[in-house]
Amino acid sequence: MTWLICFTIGATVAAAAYLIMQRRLIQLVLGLSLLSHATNLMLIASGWVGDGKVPIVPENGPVDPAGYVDPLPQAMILTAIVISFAVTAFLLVLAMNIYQRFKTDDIDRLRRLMG
Amino acid sequence: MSDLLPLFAAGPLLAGVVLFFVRRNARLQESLSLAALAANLALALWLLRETAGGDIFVHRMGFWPFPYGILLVADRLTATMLCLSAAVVGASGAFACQYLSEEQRREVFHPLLHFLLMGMQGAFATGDIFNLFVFFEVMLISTYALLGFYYGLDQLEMALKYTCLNLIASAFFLLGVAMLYAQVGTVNMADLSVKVREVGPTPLMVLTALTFVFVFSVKAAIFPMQLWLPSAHSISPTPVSAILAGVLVKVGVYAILRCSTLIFPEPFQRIQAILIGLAVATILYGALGTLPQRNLKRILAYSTINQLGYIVFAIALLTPAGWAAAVFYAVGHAFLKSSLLLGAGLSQKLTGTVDLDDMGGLMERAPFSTLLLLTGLLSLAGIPPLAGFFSKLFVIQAGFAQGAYLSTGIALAAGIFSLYYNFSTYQRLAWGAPKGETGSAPAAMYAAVAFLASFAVIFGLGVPWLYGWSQLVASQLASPAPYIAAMRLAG
Repeated sequence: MTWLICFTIGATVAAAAYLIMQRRLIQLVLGLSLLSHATNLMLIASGWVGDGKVPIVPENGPVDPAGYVDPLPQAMILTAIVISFAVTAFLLVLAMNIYQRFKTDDIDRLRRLMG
Repeated sequence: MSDLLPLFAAGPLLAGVVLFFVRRNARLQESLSLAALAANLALALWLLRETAGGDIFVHRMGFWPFPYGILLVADRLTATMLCLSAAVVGASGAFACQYLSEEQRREVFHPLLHFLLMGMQGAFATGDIFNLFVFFEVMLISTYALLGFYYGLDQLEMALKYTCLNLIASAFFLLGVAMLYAQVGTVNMADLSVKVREVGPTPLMVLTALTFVFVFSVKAAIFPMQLWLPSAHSISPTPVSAILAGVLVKVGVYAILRCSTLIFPEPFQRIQAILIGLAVATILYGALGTLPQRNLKRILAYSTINQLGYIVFAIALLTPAGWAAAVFYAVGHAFLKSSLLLGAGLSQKLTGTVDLDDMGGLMERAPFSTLLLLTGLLSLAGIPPLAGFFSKLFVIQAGFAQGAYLSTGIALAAGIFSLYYNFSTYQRLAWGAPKGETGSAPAAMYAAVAFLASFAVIFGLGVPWLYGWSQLVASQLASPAPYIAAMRLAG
């Protein structure tokens, strides 16, 4: 299972890097948002124990925690997702402002227009 | 005292929300904003007095036991940084009330200012590295909005550049947290300190430390991550650039300082040569970058890079003397650079430009504001008895004491170079025949600049006291055991 996570993180980062290096603003925004997803996956992997069980303590008291997934990274990811959501929304507004003003979202052309 | 710590984050949050709802009434909004900033400064000063004896205050958020809950911690360094941020943001806020026009204010400046303050003060006070990430994001998202404040042509491009760079840095921050968590299974700074020492400086741990250095060096504008700073600092509205140069970059410095003393003392020994190399490159880049500039704010921005190089150089020496010099330098520079930037804004209000070649003859046109600028530039150039001289002196002393002769020699040479660029700036700005019309500026703007500029003199004259305080801060940083014990006890 670990190799699958590794592969997914690698592929997501590659896709993000490709998108960020493109010329259009919308691709830049999508690329940055993908990059934050990749790091979230990395964070999940840091609390992973093989095919761990769901970290919910059963009613009849505490159990040996060895077989369970670590819940703390999952709580942290929840925060990270909300933050990346807010920042992506802000970036989209910024990109839309630029598009409305210059009628283009091509970065090279924008650079010429902005001087 | 411990129970008041959350106020540093909650107070500005509450103020920001309230200010947003009274945005239609500009006068009410301004007075409320200034009252909240004054209260914040008073609280920070009180905390400074309370921590002076060496006590460490810890507040536990929620009811989670150590090391799971988020702890807010205040030692001498935290209290110093809190005072600094409160004073600089307060003066900039007062300045902004007069400086920004009705249209520029767009009703959201003051709420954003308080959210920014919340992020910075939260970052200074937190004892949890993931919480540090969260406060960094609060701070950054406020700056994204404040930087693109006017939405002019230059601002949009610059806001985009700044936002993208910081987003990539944030991704790396999270990556660093994940790497750290995978190795030691904790995010509490006290717990991290103990467990990272147990693991020892393995290659993976050194790589983790390097990741954090990269992330914080984007904030602190350390070479080669300094490219965003000149345009961000020169194009943003002047009160915002004063906060950026005065406090925001210091958040990066603060985080590097905490990493080097508390979290990664051993891995930092391994990467010391890299850190010193980067710091020296930053010093040189900042000094040389001032040469071709004509815009006063851009010169000040490059000089900020130059000064940050000195601060990080002092931290990278990894000795208590170096840390004391770094704290002294950071505090002095915060007041100095924000006073200079607000002074530039004042001159802009008077002459309508920040272009040095059009400002000529400022001495004759606006003697008082020129005098304020002169105080700052002299201090920046390192003329005794102003604060800038002692900052450089302590850094160079610490460098030679550590035996880093080559790098300290380069830093010293760059210091002499800064003498040149500061004097040439002053000459181009103040001398010559007066050009153009001279407007007028309200007294409150002069007062805000004078308040900050006076610290250049006060710190210069009060060196024994201030350096003594920096040494106290450094001695607390050098022995993290009481810090860790205080956090354990509270959790």
